[in-house]
Amino acid sequence: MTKPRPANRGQLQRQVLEFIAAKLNRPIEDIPLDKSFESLGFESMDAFDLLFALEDELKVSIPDDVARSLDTVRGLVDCLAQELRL
Amino acid sequence: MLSALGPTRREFWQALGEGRDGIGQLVGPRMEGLRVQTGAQLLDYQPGDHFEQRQADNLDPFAQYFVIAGREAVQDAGFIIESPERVAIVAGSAGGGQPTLDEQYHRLYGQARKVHPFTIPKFMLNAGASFLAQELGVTGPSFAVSTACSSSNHALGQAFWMVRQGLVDAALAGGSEAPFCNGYLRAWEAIRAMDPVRCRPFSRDRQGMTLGEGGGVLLLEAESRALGRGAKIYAEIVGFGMSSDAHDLTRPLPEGAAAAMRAALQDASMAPHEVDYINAHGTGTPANDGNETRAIRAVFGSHADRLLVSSTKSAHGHALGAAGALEAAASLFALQEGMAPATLGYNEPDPECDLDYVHQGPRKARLRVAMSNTFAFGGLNAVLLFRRN
Repeated sequence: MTKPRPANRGQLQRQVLEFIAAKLNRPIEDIPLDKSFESLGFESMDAFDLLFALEDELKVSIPDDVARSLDTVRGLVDCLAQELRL
Repeated sequence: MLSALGPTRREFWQALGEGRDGIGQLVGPRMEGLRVQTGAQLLDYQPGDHFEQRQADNLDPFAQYFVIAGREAVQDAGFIIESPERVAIVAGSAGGGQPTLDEQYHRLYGQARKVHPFTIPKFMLNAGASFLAQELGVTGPSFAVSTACSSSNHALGQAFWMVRQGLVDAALAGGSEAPFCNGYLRAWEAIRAMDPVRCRPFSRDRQGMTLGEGGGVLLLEAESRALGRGAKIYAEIVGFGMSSDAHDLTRPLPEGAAAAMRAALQDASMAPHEVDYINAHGTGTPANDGNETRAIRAVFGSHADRLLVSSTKSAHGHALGAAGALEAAASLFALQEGMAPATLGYNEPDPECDLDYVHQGPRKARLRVAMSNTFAFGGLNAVLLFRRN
């Protein structure tokens, strides 16, 4: 089910963390914002899957060159916040 | 191996021994409106029985089948990988991840704006080989071969030659196919090669093939190594032959089929009269079966009348790129059990098809050498020869 559009950056960050937490099957508290996706245990395809799902849910489209440069959860949240003008 | 005859080699052999088939009413999403209503499907298959959810999400059924068959081959052979760089994996498939493409294009042309990012890695024909290599830690040559219905025999043949030449110590080779999705089935219907009821190989009233799905993998190992570790040996591969018709995309040429059979015999340094059983390509299409019969007669001369010839596609369906792998297993069954599997669905003799097709049920016989034929669209032929060890 599609969630409502996040009203601010805090909600967005929470939503992204929930996504990642579900994917990695671990609590949100165990997902540091500044660690690389790789060190969190993401394989290359997991990152594509995450972006795909978030784009779908948030109704945004992240350009390929930006997507390739995303390395951390914080970077991803920044990028999505910019797209959503939060 | 897994097929419509069951989830492992054991059930496959059992069904062949009992003359049973796995053909039934087609089941699956978006199947309505198809002219063809039958197929040989894996009805009880559950990805969760074999893969974690995350793995299953990343693997199309065709790749899952290859991996499952590969695991069984390793386990059955009691094979321990000591030198991973000296092991090869060669996978055959005609269509790769057709169910994935079908699903994603259905989304794309429907409501969705885009396709899932796993589409390419799920579709690619080497997906099964790559996953198996990762899972087993195999670092030697691994690749996929695609020659439509000859894919598995080409894969097995390449692997056989690599082992024989000493390029690798062992190889996991075979093929897999998952053709049961709307778009791919429609494409097969459009080419008018399907029997709407069920395939009837070599029978006068034959109208085409019945599709099947599944996967088969053989562990090939140099004889000295296999004997040295006391491995269970099903048979020796003694020859492999290939040819190209260079003629027509879908109309086969007997000369091309005959050339591949002769090449296999030559590779094995074997005379035609040494062959006892042929697992025929035997698709049940009007064009193939007469053509194959003529080719067998051309190669074997008067010995053709002493051969037992059967099409096990009549039991496990035509599994396209997996056909050669399933039929290699059927050939090994014939040699190990001393029993030629039956050609099912046979109703009436055809003057064009005048060999002994074992159509009255499986037949006990003393079988020492088996030939397995595959002839693909595009006129690409690949033939394997097995000898009881």
